[in-house]
Formats: sequence, structure tokens, C-alpha cells
Amino acid sequence: MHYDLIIIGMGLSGLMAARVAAEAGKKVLIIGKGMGCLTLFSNTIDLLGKIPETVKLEDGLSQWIHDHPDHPYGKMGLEKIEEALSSFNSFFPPPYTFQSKNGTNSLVPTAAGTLRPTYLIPSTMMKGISLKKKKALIIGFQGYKDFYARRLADLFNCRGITLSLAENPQKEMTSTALARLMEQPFLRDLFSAEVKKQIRDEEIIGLPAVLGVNDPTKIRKEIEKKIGASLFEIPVPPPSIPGLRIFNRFKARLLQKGVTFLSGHPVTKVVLKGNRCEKIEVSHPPITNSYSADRFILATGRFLGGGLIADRLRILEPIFNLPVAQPGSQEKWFEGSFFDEHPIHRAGILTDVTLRPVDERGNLSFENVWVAGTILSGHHYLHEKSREGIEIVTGYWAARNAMRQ
Amino acid sequence: MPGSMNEKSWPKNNSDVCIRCATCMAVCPVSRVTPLFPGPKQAGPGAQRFRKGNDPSVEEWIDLCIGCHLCDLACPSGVPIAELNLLAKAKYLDEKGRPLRDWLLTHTYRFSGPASFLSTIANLLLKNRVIRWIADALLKIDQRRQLPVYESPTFRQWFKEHPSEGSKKIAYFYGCFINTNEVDVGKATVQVLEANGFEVYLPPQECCGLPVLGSGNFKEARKMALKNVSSFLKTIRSGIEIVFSSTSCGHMIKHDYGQLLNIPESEKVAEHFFDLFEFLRNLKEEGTLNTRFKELPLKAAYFAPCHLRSLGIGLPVLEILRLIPRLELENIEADCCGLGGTFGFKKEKYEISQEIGKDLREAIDRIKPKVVLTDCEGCRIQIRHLTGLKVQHPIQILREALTEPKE
Repeated sequence: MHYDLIIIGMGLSGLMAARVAAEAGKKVLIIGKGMGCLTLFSNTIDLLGKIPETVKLEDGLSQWIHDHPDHPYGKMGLEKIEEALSSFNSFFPPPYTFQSKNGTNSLVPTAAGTLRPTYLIPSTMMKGISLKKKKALIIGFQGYKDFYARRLADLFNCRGITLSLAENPQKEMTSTALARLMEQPFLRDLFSAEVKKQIRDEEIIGLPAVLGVNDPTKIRKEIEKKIGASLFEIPVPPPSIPGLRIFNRFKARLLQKGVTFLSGHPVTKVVLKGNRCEKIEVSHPPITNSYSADRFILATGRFLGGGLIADRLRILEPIFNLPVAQPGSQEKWFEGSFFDEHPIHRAGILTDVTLRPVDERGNLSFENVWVAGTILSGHHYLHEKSREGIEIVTGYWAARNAMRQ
Repeated sequence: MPGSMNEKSWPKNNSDVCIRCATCMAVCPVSRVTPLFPGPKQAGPGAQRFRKGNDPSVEEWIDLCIGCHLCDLACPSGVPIAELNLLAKAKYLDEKGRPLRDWLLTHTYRFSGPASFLSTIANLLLKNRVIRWIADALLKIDQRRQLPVYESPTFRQWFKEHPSEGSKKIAYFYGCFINTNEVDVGKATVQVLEANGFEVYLPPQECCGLPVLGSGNFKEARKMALKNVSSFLKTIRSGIEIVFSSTSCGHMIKHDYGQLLNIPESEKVAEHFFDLFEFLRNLKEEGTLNTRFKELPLKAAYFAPCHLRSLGIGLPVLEILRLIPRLELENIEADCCGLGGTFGFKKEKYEISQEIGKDLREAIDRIKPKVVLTDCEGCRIQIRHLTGLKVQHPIQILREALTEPKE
């Protein structure tokens, strides 16, 4: 099979790239070893959490771009970042939108008991950012071990309760099971009645982010009406239902546009001719399928999904064997303490301003390959809190640049 | 009849590559609806660390894995979760023994010949309430589940009387269910292939073995696989490729024969064994697909079966059927129909099967189609049961759209 564009990697950057190309009428294949990592992290959209909440993000970002020309944001510039973000936002028209509060970062309460700075927040989480200003009640579910309401209440200085729903005498529950239950009208009635009994004078009610997969805003509204208070979702450990909502939205729209999705099997080989990639081979034992394309985008992420791997001496990119900006010799990869800024997380693929891979001297590695997402070098997304921003912006522009050629 | 564990068939991948990220938990249809199954992360690589060859199995919940493979497709680390589950299930059932019910459900091919011949009587018996009640009470085959009816003549009998003509040859693996219970799917396949200039040939074949493998019986699955592979190799060596219209049988033959059952030369079969719509898409790529379609003003919804997704060929049905003018085709956004082959017929699993199906039914309700299309007979049985709608194999719609289908 031949395609206009093949995207390797099914995370947010790959999905953004697929969208751009599909909307330009191109024949697109998106291929992932798995389904990407959207269900692991992405509850909200981080752009640059490092910028204090008191500063307009646009101003902070302009300064950041100025100070960090090698950062993916530095390479793209402010205008391109805004264009990509608005493209992402157009996939989420009301009611389930992603918005910032007054163009600044906001602190979103998490199930880990932290207040986490982030930029674009799904509408179901918005009320959570006023946790400190309003009287809040936090609700957990018996059997759901990723969310301890009382512990959170202690940390956030409010009241917390754990509900046991009689019709639901389950011993152990996952976020996916809870989200599915919330989609059943009888359970919503039961939940609302129970919450109503428990409310004293609280104005906002927080619960784990499980208000259904398909239509969370409808579910939220219905419960709010019944309990007479505002409801907000709190991000939880994986699997993340808000992340799944993003994945499902992209997948449904892209299938409609004729994009081909292949997941579950790794790209095992690339076939090169000069400095062009001709095709990729995908191993699906006992057979190997090959797919050719005019252009390729590499968006395989970092160590977690295998976009980057490390041997004892070096960090490697296993598919194209692209040059990787190294974090020095191995003894320098890690700092002393877990939460330090470890140099290994700066390793990544070097590119030119159009996101095509280059070596240390700036020579182009391939003519028809572009790179997007966190696999890029020059950032430290964990510390900057810039994961989704980098994915959206570089995924969008890798595809735009590739289409231009 | 116990199957036996083949030491060589132990996973080729190490379960320790699991990083416990829980992506699989986002897609498992079973753990989403019941707390009785702990989900792929725990059932597969999690429990694998505590499983030793000689220790007795302790997890009766392993039998609740429906075998959809959706976890395999989601895993970012390449853990063969469904395979780990199947091996653990086989070991558990080897120790515990399999009920007569499981033998009956997985050996329908043995009595489907006479049942088709005496279809009037057989169908009356299968619909009879007393008989279904007895099956429920004694065999634990859920009486709320309607058993598929037998048709006469069989597909094979029909084909014997049907002179197939064409300039190129193609072989067809039709599978047990098409032969005796959904003969028209087989006819449609033959007619569409002929309309594309192929002479259809039916190689000697028998049950692919998936039903017995699904209940953890490796030994018997192997026997069936050996017979099929030897027949298919003859077909392939004479230069003829093979297509299949049932995605689960196709997945079994193409991928499980080699990977799980270690059947010699099965990889040669796999290279020449194609999903029907994948084959038609290849014709489209070559520019030889017959696209003289008439207008078909109809609203249809397509459901991609789990085993089609794990074939890793995309959704070729959408690509082909979207060529038909005025056919309004929507993809159903749902995972797994919940039938899982014989899984949903078993009394202790019926409720789970229905709960999983509920999500699919709601997704179909949102689309409001006139007809639902899906490649797998199990999914068709389940969607009929869930919605009461007309449910067809996509090839039947394609035949309808071809202006001059051969009779």
C-alpha cells in the first residue's frame, strides 16, 4: 500500500499531524506500537507550566522563545504556537472545550493532592481552580483505590467523603468501570441523591475524572441540577478518562476522513534510498507488511513508548537511527535526587526549523522525514510542564511543513 | 477432553517488559463491566510473575478473558497479553477439566452436517423452549441466547451446483458458520469475486480450531490446524491465493497457527491468506476492482470486529463501501460486541456478554441505521440479539451494489 504520508506514533503529536494531512485531502497511515500514551498523562493541556500564574502566558512564552532558540517553541515562534493550539481547540467545540483562565496558567487540584499548574483545562475541571476560594466537598468512591477523598481534603483544607453506592457493591473499581457506571442514568440518580444528602454549605463538589467517556458535560449538568452545586473533575492516575476522550475524538474524526489506523505492531525496518525513506516494514508474525509513502513523520515519544532507547553508553533512536543530542556520558545522565532535573531528559532528536532531522553539524539526515513531539531535543517537558504543548505544536507543524514539500 | 500445554508454545516475549502503565485498562471490555475480572494488566503480565509451570492455577477469573486482543493493540511495550491469558486459561482448564457444554459448543462442526440436512427438525428443536430450558439447566447454555438456525442446502452443496467461471483463480475459506448457518454470505463472496473476473475454488477445509483454542484446548486446535495447513499449502503451491470472509477464522489461521500452535509452514499459508476486503482493496490499488456500482440509497453502520482490528490491515470495508454512490456509511465507535465466540452462550458469562454489548447497542442507537454491517459471524449474532436490526456481512451490500450480479 502507498500513502501520501505515514506517521509513526499514535500519541497527541502523531494524531495532530494526521489531522492536518487528512484535512488537506492526503492519504494518511498512522501506525503505533500501541495506542500512544494519551491515557497516561493528558488530563489537561500543558503549554509551559513553568510560567507563574500571575503572568500572562503569552508574555512569559515570548520571553521563553527569546531565551531558548533551540527549544521546540523557540524554533516555532509565538504565532505558529497559537495557530496550532487553535487548531487543536477547533476539535473540541462547546460543550466539552479546553480553555485557559484569563490567558494564564491555573492551578488544578490532582488526585495526588498537588495543585498542578497547567494552561488549557477541560470544561469539566474548570471549577476546580477556585478550590482555595470556595467551600469545597471532595467525593471518592468505595473500592476506587486511586483516589482518597479524605486525604485530599486534608491537603486542600476542605471536607472529603467516600461514597459507597448500594447498588454497586463492587470490591474494586477502575476509572474505566466508574466512567461507564456514570453513563448509566440509574447510577447518576443514586449518586446525586447521596451527594445531596451529604452537602452542607459547600458550593463546589470535586470528584475523580470519571464523568463518562462520551458526554461528560451532559452528565455533569444533569448531576449539578439535581444537587444544586457546581461539580468539577479531578485528574487521576492512569488510565486517564480525559486522555481517552481526546484519543477517541481524534480517532473517530480521522477515521471519518479516511485515515488508516494500525496499532499493536512495531515498525521493524525502514527501507532507504539515498537520503530518502521509501517504505517501512511492520512485523506481525509470521508475516511482515510493508507500506510506502512520499513523506514520513516520526512521532514515537520518549523512553516510555520506545521512541528513544538507551544502551550502556548512548541514547539511540531505534527506527531511523537518527542522530540524538546526547546528555553527556552515562554518569552524568542522572542527578542525585528523584525530582531533580535529570540531563537524560534533555536527550532527543535535533532538527532544523522545519522539523527535519539533522546531525550535530546541521546536515540534513533525510529529505522526506519530519520529527514531532517529545522525542525532539532542546526541552525538558517534565520540568517545564510543556508536554501537550510541544506535541500539539510540533505535530501540527511537522505535517504542515511536510505537506508544503 | 483435556488439551495439553505445549512447552514450546510459551510466550516468545518476556512479560517483564510490562511497565504497569495501565493503557490496557483503558480498553479492556471485560474489566470495564465487571469487577470479577481484574483486567489485562493484572491478569496477563501481573499474574504471570507468580505463575510457575508446576504450581496449580489459583485464578478462576482467568476464564473471563474474552480473547478480543484489544489489550495487545493498546500496549505501548509490546506485551502479548492475550497470549499470556490464553496460556494461563488453558492451564487452569487442563487442571479443572472442561464441562460437556464446552465440548458441545466448540464442536458444532461435527453435527452441523446432519443438522443442515434435517434443518427443519433441528431448528424446531433449537427453538423449542423446553429444550432450551434443559440446555440451560443441565448444560449451562443460556436460554436467553437464541441458537443459530441451520440452513439447507449448505454453502458447499450450493457451490457444487454452481459453475464458477473467470480468467483467474482464487480459493475461498468460508468457515463452518457460513457453510451451514449463513449460506448467503458465502454466495455473495463467490458472486462478487466472479464479478471481478475470478473463478472461485473451494480447497478442502475444516473448522479453523478457534473455538477449541479459545477454550484453551491446544492439542485439538493443533490437529485441525495441521489438516488445514496441509490442504492450503497444496492450493498455494499451485499458484492460487486464498481469501476468507470470517475475520476470526482468518486471524486464527494467519497468526495463531504459527505464533501459538507452532504449525510447520503455516507462515507460508499466512503470506497468501487474505481478508476478503483486504483482497478487494488490493484490487482497487492495482486499478482492477470492478466499481460499476449502482446507487444504493441506504443508511448503514459498520462495526469493525476485534479480530479484524488485530489483523492489522486497517478498515478496508470502509475504503471499498465508500465507493458506492448514495450509500451512507458510518463507523460505529465501540469496542468489542461482547459475544467472544462461545463466551456469550455460557450461562455464567451471559450477563457480562450483555453488559459489554450494551455499549455497542447504544453506539448503534445513536446512528439509527437501517442495516448494520460487520465481517464476523459472532458479532452479527450478537448485534441481531442486541438490536433486532438487520445485520449483514459487508460483502452482501457490495453484491447488491454491483449492477450485474451473477445468479
